[in-house]
This record gives sequence, structure tokens and C-alpha cells, in this order.
Amino acid sequence: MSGSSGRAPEESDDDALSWGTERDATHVDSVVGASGGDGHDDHPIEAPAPTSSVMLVVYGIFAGVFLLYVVGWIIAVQSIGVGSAGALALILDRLAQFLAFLSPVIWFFGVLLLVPHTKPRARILWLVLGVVVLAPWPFVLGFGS
Amino acid sequence: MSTAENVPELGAERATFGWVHAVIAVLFGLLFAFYFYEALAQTLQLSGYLQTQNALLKKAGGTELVFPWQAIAPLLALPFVTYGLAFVIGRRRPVLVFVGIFVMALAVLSAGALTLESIAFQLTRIS
Repeated sequence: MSGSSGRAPEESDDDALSWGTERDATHVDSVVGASGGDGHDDHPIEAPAPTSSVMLVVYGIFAGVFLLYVVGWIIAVQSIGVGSAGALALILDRLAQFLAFLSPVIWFFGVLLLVPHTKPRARILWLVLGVVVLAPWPFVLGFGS
Repeated sequence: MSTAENVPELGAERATFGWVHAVIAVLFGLLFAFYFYEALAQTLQLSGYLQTQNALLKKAGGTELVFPWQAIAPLLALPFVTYGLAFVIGRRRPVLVFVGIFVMALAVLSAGALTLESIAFQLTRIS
């Protein structure tokens, strides 16, 4: 510190520990709840509504089901042979099989990203559709070629 | 403005269909076309297999196998249905969302095609 009086640092410490008053030039009132002169909010900033606990549990259940589907698809895909001739066809066949067993995961995250969280019913409907359509039916029905 | 409008949602954004969308649609179209080609190849392969098996079964006096159209028809239609739905849903969305929707459709097509193929082969299996 410079050679000023010994009192100055103590005063600045007090200032630092106080919130100040409305007369303070640096005082900024919270934007939330601030209102214009006419009594209503001009630019309200509302926090996004958080996902409810019930919905989180529901998403967790769906995530578990889709993970089981991935296991089912891996088993089903292993029992289905690749019958394509040619390198390109073989690569595309492998890609198709890879996408098949990843399909439940892709669907789950796709629905969560693309359907707005403000529409939980729509999200659940899309997830239920995925549960029905993307079930590893060859594994469930015991098919294998 | 409501809360929903303040929060940016990936699925709620809108964009115009531009040349980038067109290129992506064509590239994914090629991938979907491969699935149709595969379905067609499976149909022809199954048809040849059934002809051979039915000739043998006829000689042996057994019941002839029926072509599994109930599985093959959806298998042939699935690439067109999934591509069409993905295109209609995604055409006015941002590029990344457009790609994401096509990837989802491709994943559904992969799973659906494998399911229908295995059902078709199961239906033509001689018990």
C-alpha cells in the first residue's frame, strides 16, 4: 500500500463488506422483478421451467428400456449373417447393422433434442413410438437366419 | 414473450430450405436408395430360393411355400416411407436438425429392415 493514512484501508474494507445503498452510483437493481414506471415488467427474464422429478424418472425408465434394446439388437444382429457381395455393399451392410443396434439410443437422444421440453406429452408419445417400433423383434420372437 | 419463446429449443427453430438442405437430402437419398436395392435383392433371392424349394416339395408331395408378401411389401416400401417422413419433418429446420432427423430415420429403417427380413425368412423356413 502507499503511504496514506492508516484509516483508509479499514474504511475500504467496510465498503467491500456492505451491499451499498441505492444512492451508490454502482448500485444495480436486480433485473428480475424490476419494473418500469407504469408498474409492469418491460423485459422480464424468466428462468426456464425445470424438468419435473416425475418426468426425469420417466426419461430414466425409457433410457433403461432403450439400453436393453441395444443389448437385444447386438444379440440379434450377431445371428443375422451379412450376405452382400462387393466391398461397398459390405461396408454399407455393416453400417446398417451398426445403425440398427444403435437405433434405440439415436431415437432416445433425438427425441430429447428435437421435441421441446415444454411439450412433455409429445416427448412421451414419441418415446413410446420408439419403444414399439425399435424393439429388437428378431431377438424377441426368436428369429435368426 | 412467454418462457417457451425465451428458451431456444433445437426442435422449435425454423429455417428456409436452401441448397445445403438439397445436397444433404440427395446424399441421404443415396443411402436410402441402397436400402431399397438391398430389399429388392432380398426379394429376388427369396423368390429363387422358393422356386427351388417348391420344386423339391412338389416332388416329395409336401405343402408348397407361399411368398411372404406380408413382410416383403413393407420391406420394399420402408425406405420411401422413412425418407419421405424425414424430409417432410425436417425440410424447414436448421441444417443440423435436418441431418439429425435423417440419421434417426436411417436408424429406424435399419432396425425395421432387419426385422422384416428376419420375419420373411422365418415365414419361408421349412418346418
